[in-house]
Amino acid sequence: MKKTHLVLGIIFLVTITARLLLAFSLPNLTYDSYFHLRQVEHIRETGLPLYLDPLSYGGRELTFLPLFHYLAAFFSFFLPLPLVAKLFPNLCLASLTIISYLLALKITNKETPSLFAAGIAGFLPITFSTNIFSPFSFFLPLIFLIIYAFLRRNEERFFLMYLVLFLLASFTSPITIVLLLGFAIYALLLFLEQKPLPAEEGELMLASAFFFLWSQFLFFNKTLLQEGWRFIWQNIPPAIVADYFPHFSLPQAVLAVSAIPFLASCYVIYRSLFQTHHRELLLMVSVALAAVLMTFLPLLQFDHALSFFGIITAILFATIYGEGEQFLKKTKGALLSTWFPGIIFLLLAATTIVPAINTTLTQERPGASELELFSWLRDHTPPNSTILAPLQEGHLLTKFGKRRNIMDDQFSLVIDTGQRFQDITTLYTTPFKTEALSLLEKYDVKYLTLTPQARTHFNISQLPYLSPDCFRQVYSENDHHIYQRTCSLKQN
Amino acid sequence: MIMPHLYRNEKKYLLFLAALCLITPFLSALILGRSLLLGNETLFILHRLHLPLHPGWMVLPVLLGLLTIFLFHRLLKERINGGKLELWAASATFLLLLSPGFIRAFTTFSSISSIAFLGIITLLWSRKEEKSKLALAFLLCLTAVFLAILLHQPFLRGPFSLIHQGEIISDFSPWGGISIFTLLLAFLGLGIVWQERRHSANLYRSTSLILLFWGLFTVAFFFPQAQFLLLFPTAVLASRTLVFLFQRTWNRPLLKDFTIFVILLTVFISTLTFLKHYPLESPTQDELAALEWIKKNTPEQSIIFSSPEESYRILAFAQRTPLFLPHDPHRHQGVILTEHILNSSYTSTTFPLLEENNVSFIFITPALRSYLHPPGTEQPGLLSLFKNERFKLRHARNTVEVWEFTKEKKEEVLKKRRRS
Repeated sequence: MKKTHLVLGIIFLVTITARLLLAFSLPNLTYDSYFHLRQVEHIRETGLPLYLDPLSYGGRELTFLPLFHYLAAFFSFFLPLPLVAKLFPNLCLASLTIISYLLALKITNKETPSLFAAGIAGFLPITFSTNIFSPFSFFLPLIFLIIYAFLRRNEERFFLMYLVLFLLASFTSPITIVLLLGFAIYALLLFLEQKPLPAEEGELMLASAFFFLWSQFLFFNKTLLQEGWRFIWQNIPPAIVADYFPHFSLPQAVLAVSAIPFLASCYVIYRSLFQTHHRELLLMVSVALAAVLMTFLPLLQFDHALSFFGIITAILFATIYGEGEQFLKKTKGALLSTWFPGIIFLLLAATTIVPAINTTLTQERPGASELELFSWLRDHTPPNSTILAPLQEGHLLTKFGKRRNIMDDQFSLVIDTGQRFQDITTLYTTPFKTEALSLLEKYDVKYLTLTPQARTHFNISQLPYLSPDCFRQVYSENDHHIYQRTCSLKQN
Repeated sequence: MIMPHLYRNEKKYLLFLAALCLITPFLSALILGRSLLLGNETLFILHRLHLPLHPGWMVLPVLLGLLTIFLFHRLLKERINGGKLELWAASATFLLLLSPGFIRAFTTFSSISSIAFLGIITLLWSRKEEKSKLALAFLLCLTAVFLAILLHQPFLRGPFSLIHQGEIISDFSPWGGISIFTLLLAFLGLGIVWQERRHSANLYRSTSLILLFWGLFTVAFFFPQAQFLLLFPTAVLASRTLVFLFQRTWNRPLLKDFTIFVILLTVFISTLTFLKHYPLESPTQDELAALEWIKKNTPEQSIIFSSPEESYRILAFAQRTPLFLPHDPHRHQGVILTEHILNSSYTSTTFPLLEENNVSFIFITPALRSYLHPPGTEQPGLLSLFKNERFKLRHARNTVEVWEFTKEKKEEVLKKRRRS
C-alpha cells in the first residue's frame, strides 16, 4: 500500500475514532435531531415518512426530502437505531477526509498538501458536532463528492457517478442549489475572462439545473403555492430569523473554519479571481462564493454556509501549502523545509482541534431528566393532550411524550408561526393569569412543562401566573416540573 | 418516426391538447360537484349583463381559446417562419396552451383575452394583400369602439381577485399565470435571441421581441391582471430555448434526451398542479345552496360580509351586495376592514364595524373557517363572537353557515346612553 494511502487511512481512522468517542461519551442527540429520528422510526414502521403529523402544531402537514431518513431506516434494520443515529452521521462527516484528499489531489497533483487538506477537513470545528442526526451530515460529503465526479466527468464511470450522486443530493436537501449557483458563478467568471465554457460542462450544468428544479417542485409544489417566495426562508417566525440567518461575524467565521486555512484560502480566492486561472480551482472558488452570497442574501443558514466554506478552505489550503513549500526551498530558509510539514501540522492542530472539541462540548442537548419528564407525559396524560413546551423542546414532546406540541422548528406550511411563537413566549413570561388562561384555552393546553432549559431561555425562575386554585403540580424531579391546568377562563 | 408524424399533424394535436386543457377544469368541477361558472370575472360580467347563470355560457370562452390557439400558431408560421412547418411555431403554441394563465383566461369570461384574440387577428390580417385592408380597417375600428366602451367599465381595470404585485408565477401564487419553468426557459431564450440579433436579418425581429418581453414583464409585475399578455412573448422565447436545445448536437445524446424530457415534465407538472387546484376556486353545492338561501330569504338591500374571495359569488348567485369587490378602486380599505372584522374577538370593536357598514348577514365558508380557526387552536376572532345574542344562525349546511347580525334595539341604545 502506498505510504500516502496509509497516512490517509490513519487520518480517517483518527477522525472517526475521535468523533465516535465524543459522540458516545456525550449522552443524547441535539434537540432538532429528534424530529429526524421520529421520521426514521415512522419509515421503519410504515415504509413512509410522517408527512401528516398529528402531534406537531396540534396536527399539520409536513414536506421534506426523505432520502436521508430512508437510508438511516435501511441501516437501522441491521443495527439498533440509537447506534445508527450516532454512527451514520459521524461516518459521513469523517468521509470528508477522503473526499477532501481526492479533491485536493485532483487540483494540486501533490500528495502531502492533499493529506493536510484531509486532516483539516476531518477536524474542522464547524462540522465537528458529533451528536447531530440530520440530513446535512450526509449532504455535505455528498456535494463534495459530486464536485469531484464533475471534475472527472470525462471518465465514463465518473460521469455516471455524477448523475447518480446529483440525483441523491436533489432528494436529500434543497441546499443542492448552492452547487448550481456555484456553476453559474463559474460560468460567469469564465465569460468575464473571455474563456469559453466547455460544451460538455455547460450541458451537464443545464441538465443538473433542470433536474434539480423538477425534483424540488415534485416535493414542494404545495409549499410553494401556499408560501410563495417566502418558502426560501422556510416560514421562520420573524422573531427568530436572526438565529437562523445571523449577521455575518468575521471572528466567528474564522474560529469556525480555523484561522490558518481561512487566511490561506482568502489569498487563494483573490489570486484565482485576479491572477492565475486554474479552472478547477475556479470552480471551488465559485462554490465558496455561492455559499457566501447565499448567506448574505440571506438564503442559506450561516452554519451551513460556514460548513461549505470550511471544507473548501481545507482544499484550497493544499494549493498554498504546496507553493509555500516550494518557495521555502528556494530561499535561505531551505533547511527549514524538512521541518515545514511538522510546523504546519502543529499550527493547524492548535487552531483546529481545540475549537473542534469545544464545538462538540457546547452542543445543545437535552439532559436525562428532560427526557424523563417528557416520557412521564406519555404515561400519565390523555393521548389527545396538548402540552406547553418551548419551541426548542417541541420535538422532544412529540418523540418521547407522544403528545401534541404548540410549536417546533418545522415551520413550513404553518400559517401562524409568528403568532404561535409570540403566544409561547407570553405563556412563559406573562404575569397575568387571565391572559395565560386565554392562550392556554386557545390551544387547549392542559399541561405545562417547566425545565431549566426553559428557565434559562425565558429568563424566569417560575411561571409567574401559577396559583393553586388553577394549576396543580403533577411532576417534579431535578428541577423539572409539570403543571396541570384545573380551571378555565369562564370559571374565573 | 414519431417526429415526422407529429410534424404532419401538429395542428390537430395542438388543438386536441388545447381542447383537453380547456375542458379539464370543467370536468374536474363537475366531478367535484362544484359550479361550472369558473372565474370571478365570469360572475361579474354575467351579473352586469343580467344574463342567467347557466354553465352553457362557458362554451364561448373555450371556443375563443381554441380559435386563439389556431390563429396564434398560424401567425407564427406565416409571420416568422415564412409558411414553413417548423418546430418553433409548434413548441411556442404548445407552451402557450399549457400555460395556467391561458387556461384560466379561456375558461372564464376574460376581457383581456378577447383583446389578445383581436390583436392576433389584426397581426395576421395585416400581412394580407391590398384588398383585405378594408377588412383590417373595419376590424381595427370595431376594436377601438369595443375598447372605448370597455374603458368606461371595470372589465379592463380589474383585478377580480386579491392579487398582489409580482404574483405572476403560477407555482408561487394561485393567481399566477406563468409557470416558473416556462419563464426560466424564456430568460434563456432571451440570451439566444440576443445572440441572433447580431445577424442583420434578425435585428428588427429580435430586438422587438426582447423589448416586448421586458415591457410586458414590467407591466405584469406591477399590474398582475395584465400578465396574460406576457404569456405570448414568454411562449415564443421559451420555445426558442427548447428548439435550440433540441436542434443542437450534444456531446452526450443521452443527456440531451434526459434534459428535454425533464423540461417537458416540469412544464406538464406545473400545468397539472394548476389544473388540480383551479376547479377548487369554484363554489361547492353547499355554498351555492347557502347563496340561494340568501337570495330568497334576505332583503334585497342587505349587505353580506364574507371573505373577499366570496364577493363575486354573493353578487352573482345571491344577487346581494358584498362588503366590497376586489376591482373597487378603494379595495385596499375594504381589505383592511375585512381583516379587522375577521380578527377581532371583542364585541366593542367588531360590532361598530359591522354597524357602520350596514352588514346584516355573514356568510361563513369552509375556507373562511379554516383561515379563522387554524388547526390546533380553538376558535378565535369573529367565530367566537357568534355566541352573542345579536348573531343568529339562519342557515347551515355542513360547514357552510349564514348568520344574521341584528342591529341593536332602540331601547338598548337609549339605556346605554342613560348609563353613560
